[in-house]
Amino acid sequence: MYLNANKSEAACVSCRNSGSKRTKKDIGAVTGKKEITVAVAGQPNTGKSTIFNRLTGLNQKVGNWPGKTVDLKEGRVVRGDRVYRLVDLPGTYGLTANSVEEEIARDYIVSGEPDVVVAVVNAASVERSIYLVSELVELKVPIVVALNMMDVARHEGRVIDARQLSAAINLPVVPMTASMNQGVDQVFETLDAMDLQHPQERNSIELPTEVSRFAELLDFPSSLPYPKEWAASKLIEGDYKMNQAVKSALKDKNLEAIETFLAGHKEAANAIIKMRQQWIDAACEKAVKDENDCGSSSEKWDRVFLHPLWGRLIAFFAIPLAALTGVLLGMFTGGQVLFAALEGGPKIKAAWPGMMGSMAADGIAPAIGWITALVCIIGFIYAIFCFLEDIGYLARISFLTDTFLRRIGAGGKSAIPLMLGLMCNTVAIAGTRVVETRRQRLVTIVMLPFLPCAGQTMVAAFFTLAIFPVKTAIIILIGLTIINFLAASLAGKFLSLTVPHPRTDGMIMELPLFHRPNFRTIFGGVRMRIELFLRRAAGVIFCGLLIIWAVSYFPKGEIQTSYLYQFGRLLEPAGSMIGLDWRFMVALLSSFFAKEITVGTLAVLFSVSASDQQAIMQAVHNAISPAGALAFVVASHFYIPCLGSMAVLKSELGSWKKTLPLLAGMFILAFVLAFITYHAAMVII
Amino acid sequence: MITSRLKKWSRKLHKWIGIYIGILTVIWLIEMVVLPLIFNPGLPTVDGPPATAQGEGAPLSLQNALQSFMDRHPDGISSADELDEMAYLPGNGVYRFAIRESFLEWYVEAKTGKILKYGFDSNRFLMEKGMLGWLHPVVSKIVKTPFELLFVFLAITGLYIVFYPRKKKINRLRTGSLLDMEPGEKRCLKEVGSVALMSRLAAVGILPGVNIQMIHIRNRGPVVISVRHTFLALGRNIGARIIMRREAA
Repeated sequence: MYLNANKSEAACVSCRNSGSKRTKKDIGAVTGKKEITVAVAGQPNTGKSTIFNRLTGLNQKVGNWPGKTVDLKEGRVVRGDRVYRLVDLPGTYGLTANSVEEEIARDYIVSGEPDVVVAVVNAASVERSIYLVSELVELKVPIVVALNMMDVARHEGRVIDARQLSAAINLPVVPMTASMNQGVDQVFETLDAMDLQHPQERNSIELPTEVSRFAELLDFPSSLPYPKEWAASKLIEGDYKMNQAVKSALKDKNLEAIETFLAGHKEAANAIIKMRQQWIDAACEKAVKDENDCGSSSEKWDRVFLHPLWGRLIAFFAIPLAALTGVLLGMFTGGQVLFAALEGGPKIKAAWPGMMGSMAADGIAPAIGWITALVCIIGFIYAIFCFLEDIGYLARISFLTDTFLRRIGAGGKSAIPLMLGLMCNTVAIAGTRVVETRRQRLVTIVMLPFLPCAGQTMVAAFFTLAIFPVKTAIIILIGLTIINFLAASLAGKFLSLTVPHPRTDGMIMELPLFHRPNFRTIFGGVRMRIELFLRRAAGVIFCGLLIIWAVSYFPKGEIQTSYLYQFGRLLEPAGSMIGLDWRFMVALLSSFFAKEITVGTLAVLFSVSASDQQAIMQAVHNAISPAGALAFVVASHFYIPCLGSMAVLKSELGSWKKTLPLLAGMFILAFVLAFITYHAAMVII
Repeated sequence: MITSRLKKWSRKLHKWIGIYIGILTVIWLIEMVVLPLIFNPGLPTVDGPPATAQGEGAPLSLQNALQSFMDRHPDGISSADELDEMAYLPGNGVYRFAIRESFLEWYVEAKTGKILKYGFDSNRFLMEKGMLGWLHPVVSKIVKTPFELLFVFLAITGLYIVFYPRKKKINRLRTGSLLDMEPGEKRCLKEVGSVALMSRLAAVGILPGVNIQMIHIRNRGPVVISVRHTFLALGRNIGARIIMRREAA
């Protein structure tokens, strides 16, 4: 319908324009070659990302879909007189949108921007994963079917005849095993051979007559970016998003007619789905043969991993272990850079006195150290969790924790970010992208800053150990952590009560069969995460650390007269309400840049060596009352997250408008709780 | 009506008693391992009956026994002032010295002052410090008392179940939904309750006429099914809206 010659040219021009808007160095624009937009679509767990990585090599860019916090990956490949602009769409089961990701993928395909769609189908479960293709054929966009995971299919004793399949559905089918780099070139060869000027011939699905009758009924405004007939069939299928979009665009009179038609033709949806099923059955009839019934080993493993007790026990130990391993590996690599930077500080200052030396020693070196350490920690943690995801275990954990987490508004997939939150909030908030729906993600993100990260726990341990006997210190620590968890759950619950409930909220989750990991995919995922972190958060962290150095240095070059000190003095009245003098207030303020530097700041303020733990403890012990120490620990545990977390928080929530109320709430909560703690402790002790 | 409600409450009560006792048992087991490691200064344990001296003879006076005891430089004590329990056990012919606070004991032969047996009294220690006694004796008391009472309660209800076993339910409520299937059973899908859910399920391969094998189903929580070579986890609310035929296609 909209891919006749003119339209295709127009689509190409528009995409070239939008492309050149993104980068001036656009290859297509420079060389004058014809740019062709290829959308890579597929259901989750079909190896879509692997195919995308193979097709583009390392020529990819990661960004966000406009206005959405969903990753947009694209890459360019030059072949002959064509430049292929490949766009990796989020995984989608069909063209009925049930999440933000599916909506993005759906809208992009339907918009007409892609010239070709490469539909990835899992050869190990053709009948299921070809469903997306059965929806795509209703649209007019040319399709290439990439039949991936041929090796897995063969391993499970299924014989897939790509030629038969191609003949049955009348579309080009490329059999491939992307993990072993087989069939990648054939995809390009098929694309090269495609004539995009003429509509592709294919076996479409004959939709029931109700659809066209309904389409005639629709007084469809041209402002909606959907083909009319297709929109009609989606409305009949009960697509919620489509319903909303149409309702807001149509006139009242037409709406009534639509409602009555939909109410009177509930069977039509059944008919549409039956048609699709017939199409799938016809496609698979000759092409797919089961040689033996795969009594897969996954079932045996799942008896243990999905067991209500044993499965939970394993998860309970496996996840913290994985997170801890990631952190330790990170500390042993990037952490060493940080320690070296902190230790080398005095040497730099000695060799290079004056402002520049101080800036290098206390500003730039620690900033580089911190960023290196965070990159390494994030990298290793992601590598481990990508590995667990790739072999199929993470889906099991989501399954086990789903029931519980749903009660507080999050979902099964929030379990991993929440666990990571105990290590590092920055990493955890960045990791919430795995959470399925927007609402669950919001709840998870809001919960995370309440969880004490390793840095906060360290500070609390230091303070309680300095003031109280060991036994009391441990009790305080555990108690605080429990209160933090409660606060996080309450925040999640509160938010999930205020944010509107989506209509369908039941769990439908694929549990991929356990299989061997593909390290290329894992590496690709890790690389993308690090790139995103460097681009979005690293700069903010760097600048932030430089700013704290500046305010603690100027105007006279020493912290005792600095702006930070003056600001701390200003805060003294507030501090005295919770039993803290200005030094502790400044330490609390500095914890905003990184929780771990709190103790270091105190060392500077008490003029003792930062590496001498005993001396700092002694100094703190003499300067603060037990009630004040308790208030400090409470304040530090509930205080706003560090700068890095804040940068990520903003980028994940999408705007400061959502971030600032959360931070303000935390700030007030921290102060109020510290106030209560201080006065309660004064009475008791 | 009343009996069914009673049964429901009884089940709930037993569940929470079970959780309570379970948690305390786990705490107790962890304490048994961890607490002695923290409190015991590395001495042997003195469990069992007190030591008995061999042979006959006149015992030393307490003063002299103490003197000779301290001369031997026993482990775990530096001055005799730390002792707060000193007693002569005439039946065994030994002096018993102890420090209440740190649970240490020494049995000293009354006539020679030789140390026969000494160390850490782990039994008394666990009685006093176990079950959260290390937090505060009152906490331990609060936690322990219901524990003991509930144990008695369980003993009584346990006996009741032995004498009046529950009759098996014969006609389970069958709605023909996915949730009625047994693990391993394979049946064919008939229809899906709502239109919107139908298209959502169709996209993941759950279409009418497709065979579904139940992999994992319990009394609560999501179920796992195998459909078209894939495992899918479905929430119970979704499962209830999927209507199955009696047999596979």
